Order: sequence, then C-alpha cells, then structure tokens
Amino acid sequence: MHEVPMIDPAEARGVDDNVVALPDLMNGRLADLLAAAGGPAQEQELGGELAARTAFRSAVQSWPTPRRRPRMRRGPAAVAATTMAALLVASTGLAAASELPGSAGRSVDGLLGSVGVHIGPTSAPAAPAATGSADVEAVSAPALHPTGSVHVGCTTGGTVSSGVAGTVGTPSCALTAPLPVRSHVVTSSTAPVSPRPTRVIPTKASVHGAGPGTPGTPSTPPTTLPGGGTSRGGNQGVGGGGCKGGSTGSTTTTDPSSASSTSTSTTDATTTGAGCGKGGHHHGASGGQTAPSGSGSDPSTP
Amino acid sequence: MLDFRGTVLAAQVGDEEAFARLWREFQPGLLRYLRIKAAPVAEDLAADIWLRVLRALPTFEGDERGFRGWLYTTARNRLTDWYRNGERRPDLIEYSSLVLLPAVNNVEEEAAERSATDEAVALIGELPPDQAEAVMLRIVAGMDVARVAALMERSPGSVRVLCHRGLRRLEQRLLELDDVRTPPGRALAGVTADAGATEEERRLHA
Repeated sequence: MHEVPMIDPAEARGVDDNVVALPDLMNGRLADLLAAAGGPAQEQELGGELAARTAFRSAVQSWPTPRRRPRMRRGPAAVAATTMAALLVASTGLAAASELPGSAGRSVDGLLGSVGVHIGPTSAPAAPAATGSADVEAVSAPALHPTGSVHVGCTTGGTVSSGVAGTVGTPSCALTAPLPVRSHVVTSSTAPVSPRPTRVIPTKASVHGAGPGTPGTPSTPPTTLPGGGTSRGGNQGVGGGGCKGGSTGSTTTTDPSSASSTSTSTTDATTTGAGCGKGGHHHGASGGQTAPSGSGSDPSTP
Repeated sequence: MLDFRGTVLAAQVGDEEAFARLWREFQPGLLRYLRIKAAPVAEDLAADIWLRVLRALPTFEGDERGFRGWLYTTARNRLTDWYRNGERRPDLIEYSSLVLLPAVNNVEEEAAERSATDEAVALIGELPPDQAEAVMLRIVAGMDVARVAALMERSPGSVRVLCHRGLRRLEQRLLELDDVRTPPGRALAGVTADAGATEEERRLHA
C-alpha cells in the first residue's frame, strides 16, 4: 500500500507562491463581465434584420437552381432482365460463331479466347477425303456399340455433330441415340478429352464415333486376314468431337462373309493438331485387302 | 432553442424566416466581435460578412459549431481584407467643417443607454488585440480552443495563454475600476448602470 507522504504545514505554506492563480470565471466580477459580454441580443444589434432579409431574398434568386438528375433506379427485376438478355445475346453469339466461316471463326475465337472462351475452329477441315480407296459405303455406317447406341464423344464445349441421322449434336455431353444394332462392327475409342472443342463437319464418309478422334496417323498396321476376311482396322479417332490427342483404338472386325477371322489392332497414336477426326476414319477394304486405316498425316496438324 | 439543423436546411431552400432565425442567433456575437476589432465599421463589415455567408449557404454542411466556425472565419477574412486594403484609414476631414457639424448625440444619454453588454465588450476591447480576440472567440462566442487556434493561426497552447492573460488583465482592470467608481457589478449583471441610480450618481458617472 502506497502511503501518502505527509507534508509539514510549515513547508506547504510557500507552495501557493508558485501556483498561478486562475481567474475565477464562475464567481465574482469577472464572471459577471463575461456573462454580460455574451448576453442576449440587444435591440440595436438586431436593427439590421430587414436589410439582412432583403439581402437573403436577392441571394436566393442568385443561387443556382438545384438540378435534379434523373436517377436511374434499377430494380432487381431490371437487373435480372438485363443480365438474362446479355446472357442470351452472348450465348447466341457463341453459337453463331461456331457457324462462321474459317477466318471469321478464328477471329472470333481469338477474340473470345482472350476472355477465356474458346469456340474452337469453326471451319474444321472436312473429313479427309479418305485418301485410300476406301469404300465409302462401307464406312458410312455409324460406329455402333453392341448395345445399339451411338456414342457421341463429348468435348468441353463446342458443337459435336453426329453424322448419323437421329443423333444430335450437343455442345458438351455425350449423347446416346438408339440405333439398330450392327453387331459386326464394334468400335470403341478412348482418348483424352480435348480441351478445345472441335466441330466436325459430318460427311458421307465419316462416321462419328465415340470420343475424340486421333488425327491422321496410320495407326493400324496392315492386316491381312487369312481367308479373305474383311479387315476393318484402325478405326481411330472417328469420334465426332475428338480433335487432338492420342487415342487408342481397338477394332474388332468380324466379317460375316469370312469364316472367323478377327483382327484386332491397337495403336497408340498421339497427335497434336487442330484438326481432328480426319485420319482416323474407318476405311475398310473388303476382300482381304489391306486396310490403310487412317489416311496418312493429319493435314491440319501444324 | 434553435433547431439548428432544420433551420439551416430550411434556409438553404430559400426559407426567409429560417434565415432570419439564424441571423438573430448569430448576429449579436458577430457584431460584438467586430466591435473589438473594427469598431467604426462593425455594422458594415457584418453586413458584408452575411452577404458572403449567404453566397455559400446552399453548400454548407455541418452542425452549429461548424456554422459558427465558418461565420467567424469569414469574419476574420473580411477583417484581414479590411486591414489589408487600407480601408481602416480614416477620411481626412477639414477641421473647419467639423465645427459646423451639429452634435447628434448626447454623452449623458449615451451613457444612460449603454448597457452592461456594451461595457463588458468595451472592457474586453481595451485588452491587447490578440488577447481580446482570443477572449471574445473563446469565452463570448463559445468556440473551442482548437477552432480558435485554427482561426487565429496559432497553437492551442498559445490560445490558452492568450485567454488566461486576457482574463487576468480584465480582472485587474475591474479592480481598478472598483477603486475609481461605483462597482459596475450591477451593470455587468445585466442591469443598466444608471437604472435605479439617483440623479447625483448619474451625474457622477457622467
């Protein structure tokens, strides 16, 4: 406990000499003086009120008229409507951009690519003209799954067209369309999903199968089937939406005309290129011919 | 009690009565302040200051303290202009013409009419200019130390010292006056100096 030191009164006697005495503002003459100085208004002090009013009237006329800017109050409904309209226009534009011709499409792609939207090459080169002497009719059938469905490969956006009647193109998902089963052709393709969607123009000679395709790599070694069977090998990358990247194709061909010949070919082909689905078309040749599946190099590969 | 906020808002949209209330509230203090700084032209300067205030009134935002500070800042600027422009110099008048002028005032009557407020302001006006100004702004106008310091372009400590010295001097002056004449306590309490005084006392004061 801190003890307060006691001060000898004799010592404290001289303390007051060092203290500056403050004026007493609460009592005494000085307080009266200050109260009088701040007292109520006197008549002569308010004598100029009329002049002040006149000055006020003239000043008010010179004041600038307050301009009221029309406030654009956007309610939530208006904002929502505007947003929806903008989205509609944007999506329509995107959809339309995929239909643009090549140069315009690339321009749009470049423009939208800066904001992270890729619409892919709009004028993907048409399916390769099946450089081999492929029998178009023989391959015009869609690649069918044993279950009787056509799997249309999906990509990340973009339009996937299916060359098969009854199938639908969809920008981002796999569709399955029931089709009559053709059990003699089983095609499956597995390929990494291309980050850039690609539109593939269906042609007569192209069959859009599942998954991204493998651009033109002569992926299937020539297969000669004993017994004059039909070899349909190397159906690589027939995926409608497939573009680039490797794909592994496995084709099992059963030729009904032959006794029992099965040819299986597995090829790892990795090709990077803008084009897709070109070289991987199934070009089968009947009659024991060598099926030059894949028609060589991908023309669109840079 | 003046509803300052509402009154200012009404005056800003052109309400003359609202402005009149403002004027009646602030004009006396302003006039007293001007009388210790430029007594001969206090009225004219006050009118000019109100004109300046009126010009910028629509853009004013703030409370009563802010308005008071703005008003006295305008007043001080106007006083500075007045000093700077040499308007304080008196016109030279021929002495001969002064003789011909009739007397328009009576000293006795003037003293009778003089109120305690006038006496108090006159006493404050006898202080050195800085002290008088500090006392008027701080004590009479009721502004805080910081605002007075900003207005007088001094430090707050300097304003406190000025106020203290001014009040001390006033106290001494009052004591001196007590020795000379009847204590002006009654007068300073709001009663006119001559109210209730006998004719003999009135003559003595005069």
